[in-house]
Amino acid sequence: MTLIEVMLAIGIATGVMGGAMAFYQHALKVREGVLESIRAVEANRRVMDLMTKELRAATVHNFTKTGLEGQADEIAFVTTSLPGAEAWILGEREDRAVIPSHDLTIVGYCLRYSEDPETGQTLIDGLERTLQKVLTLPVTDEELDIESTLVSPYVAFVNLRYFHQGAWLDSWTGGDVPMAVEITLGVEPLAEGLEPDEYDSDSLKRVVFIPSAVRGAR
Amino acid sequence: MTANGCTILSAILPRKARRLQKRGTILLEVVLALSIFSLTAAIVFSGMSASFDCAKQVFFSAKAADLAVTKISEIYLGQVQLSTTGPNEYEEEELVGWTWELAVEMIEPYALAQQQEARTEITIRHDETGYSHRLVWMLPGSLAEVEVGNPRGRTRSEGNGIGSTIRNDPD
Repeated sequence: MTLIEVMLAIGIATGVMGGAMAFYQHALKVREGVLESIRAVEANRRVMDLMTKELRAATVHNFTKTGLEGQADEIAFVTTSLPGAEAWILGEREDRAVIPSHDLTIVGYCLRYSEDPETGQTLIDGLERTLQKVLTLPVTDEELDIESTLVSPYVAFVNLRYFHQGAWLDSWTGGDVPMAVEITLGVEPLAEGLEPDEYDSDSLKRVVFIPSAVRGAR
Repeated sequence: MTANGCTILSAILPRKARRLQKRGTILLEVVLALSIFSLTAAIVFSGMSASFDCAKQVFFSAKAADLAVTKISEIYLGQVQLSTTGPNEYEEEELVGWTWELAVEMIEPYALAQQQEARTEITIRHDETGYSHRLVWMLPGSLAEVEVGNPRGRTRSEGNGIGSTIRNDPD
């Protein structure tokens, strides 16, 4: 075997190994992309189910005349929920202090934004859910009285519409709830210059009927 | 083939025949290498294709669930008649290829219940992939009497939400 043959063999082997590694890297990248896409769809589906469940239980708080308030990109409403586990534990009064809990809460959804410290650009962190457990607070301290959770980092676009009496509205205010809410969630942010109804990336969209709306006549 | 065999072959076969046999061996090696490479590539590509299909399936599943919930809402809103129908195609451009179907079965009220209920099965299908999603929901039977296509009609109830009698009020 001559030196040229050895050099050629090493060259070919290196080329083949390089090609195989590049192919492997590409396959890994594709697989990671696919997994990320699956994670995003599943996370957004869970968020959609949570919003659906809470919207179906939306109601009007008669004492404060609070119902649903919403814009195209945010929503807050009174919803019914079971009190936490601590409210159901039986025991003597002196054993423990029972924290009062309500079956009505105010839930809100909106996009959470942050600023990139290097470029100063506004970034979308995801969809935020806020929860206020006591409705009748005289003054609300946002940090103490409202719990805030990032429910999905994959939501970069939200569009909400409100249906009542045969028409779709871009916002809803007042002490009542609409008959239905259309929720659109997207993974990609809305491109500049586009209107929300021109959003062209993959999105999940559903219309949720609110049963309590039919008895609360406006 | 042993060394002895090679020696015997070299002794017996003429020089040209030996050269041809060597070429044949090289060709066989190349074909074998190509086959192994093709097989490996086919396995890797089929794996990647399965990943893409899985991602598509997850997206279809989420979309179909949304369409089914939306159809329930449309029935409540009086935009779709509560009756057995379909498969019907969607009119929206982004939903080309999707169909929906309703199968409604009226259930007689039990002793304490005051009204009929409708067992409603919604089937959402994607024709191209054959994917289908079913959702079964109990709806108040009175929804079957709601007039469809009356956007000015105000829906009110005489009872309590879902289990109530809903009718269209023309004012």
